[in-house]
Amino acid sequence: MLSPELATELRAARPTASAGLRERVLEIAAREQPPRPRRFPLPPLRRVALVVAPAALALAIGGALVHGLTHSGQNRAVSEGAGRVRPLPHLQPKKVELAPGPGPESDTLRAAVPNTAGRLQQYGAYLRLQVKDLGALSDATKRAMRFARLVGGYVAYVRYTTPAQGRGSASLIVRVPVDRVQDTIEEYSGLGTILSQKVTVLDVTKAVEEEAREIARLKAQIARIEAGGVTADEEYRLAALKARLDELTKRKTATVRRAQLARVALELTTKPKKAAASAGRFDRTMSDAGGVLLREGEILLYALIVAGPLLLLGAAFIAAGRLRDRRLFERS
Amino acid sequence: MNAEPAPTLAAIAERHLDEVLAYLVYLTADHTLAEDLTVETFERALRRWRRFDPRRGGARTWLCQLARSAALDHFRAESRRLRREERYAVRELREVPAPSFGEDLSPELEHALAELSRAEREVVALRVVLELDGETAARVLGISPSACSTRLSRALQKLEGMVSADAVA
Repeated sequence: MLSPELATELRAARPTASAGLRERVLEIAAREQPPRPRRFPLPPLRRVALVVAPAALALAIGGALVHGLTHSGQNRAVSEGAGRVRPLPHLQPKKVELAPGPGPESDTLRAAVPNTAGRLQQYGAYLRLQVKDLGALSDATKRAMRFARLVGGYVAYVRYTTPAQGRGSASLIVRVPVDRVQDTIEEYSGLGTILSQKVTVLDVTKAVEEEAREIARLKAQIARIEAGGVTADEEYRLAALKARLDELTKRKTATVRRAQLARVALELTTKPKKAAASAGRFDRTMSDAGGVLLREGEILLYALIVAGPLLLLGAAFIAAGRLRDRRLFERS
Repeated sequence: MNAEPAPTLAAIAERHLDEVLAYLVYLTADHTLAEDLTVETFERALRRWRRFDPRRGGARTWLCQLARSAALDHFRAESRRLRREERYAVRELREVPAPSFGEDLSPELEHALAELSRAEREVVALRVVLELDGETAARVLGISPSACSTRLSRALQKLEGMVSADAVA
């Protein structure tokens, strides 16, 4: 430290203003205007920053929370079964007795599949349903098989899968009499929630009639040959005609049989596991607020990225200025 | 109870003029320049008088800050002028007055002060001559109190060393 003598000497020899300088300075000071009191005195910049920064933060969080509160009031439906197929009017799941009688409901359903008495038609139906769980899957599969037999049909194919994890499923193809196909579709529609559906109808009346005409023509031809006595040359032709007749008869029988039994394919699956339990209002509020805060953060980050180079440039200028000033003061 | 009337700029000038001048003399090591800068300081004080808030610091601190700002502007302008003259090699030989930091200072102390840098003389002026406390001096200098203390310690050590050496010689 400086010795007391030196300090005293420095203070004692302190420069004092000359009379001329004093006069000049006092003349300047005398030009002072009476100060007008400020209605709202401005606080220092640092104090403003100390208030503004937490206020901005509080505003950002508060805004996010308000957004979360106002947008979490209504309980949003869990999107399970999204894209679920709305059942066609005639396929609305309705409970029916296994042996339904005529009535208004069955009349509506019958309207879906054209009631064309006297015509031969091949019916095909495909239904994809969702059931609650594996227990419901098993019940629905058994019920579908039982119903097919009950209406005089049979189960052509069945596959039942219940994996340890994931969704269980069952596939069935049943053949039921055409006159019970509507009942079958109606019954199957009630087994679960319809995910997709398809009904096809193919009229084979004309084809069967053509086959019948061809058969009649062949029969007549064969009868004519046999009536005239079969020569060695005609024997070969007769055999060919009989073979053709046999084939056509079989084909016609199959077509008629197919037209008598409708093909119904049924696919059953269990519901997928819920992605998340339905969240409470507090959780939804927090989630929404988090989303808004994240968005605000993104905007802030974007602004920083955009303004970053300019800020860096400004900071570099300030640093350079300070360095220059320090050098100015390092001189004697 | 009546509040104390706010001081006028004239009263403040009358009270702190010598201190401002002393500070600028130590900073510039040039009495004439210090006088000019003192006038400039009070011109600035007049312009900014309405913004002066005694709650944020005393009048002496405020005037010292204004004086420092005026001196800094002068140093910058001088530095630019010197660079310009060096570039065009038109620097004229001027008589540089011998620095004088006080009328009754010993030649050893006068010489030692002249050897210090502006920053060192500045901190000596504020802490020793004007007897400002560490925190106020640091505020005038725009540095932390610990940095101010370090700078003062170094300056005084240097000053003592040079004065002792001169005395021995």
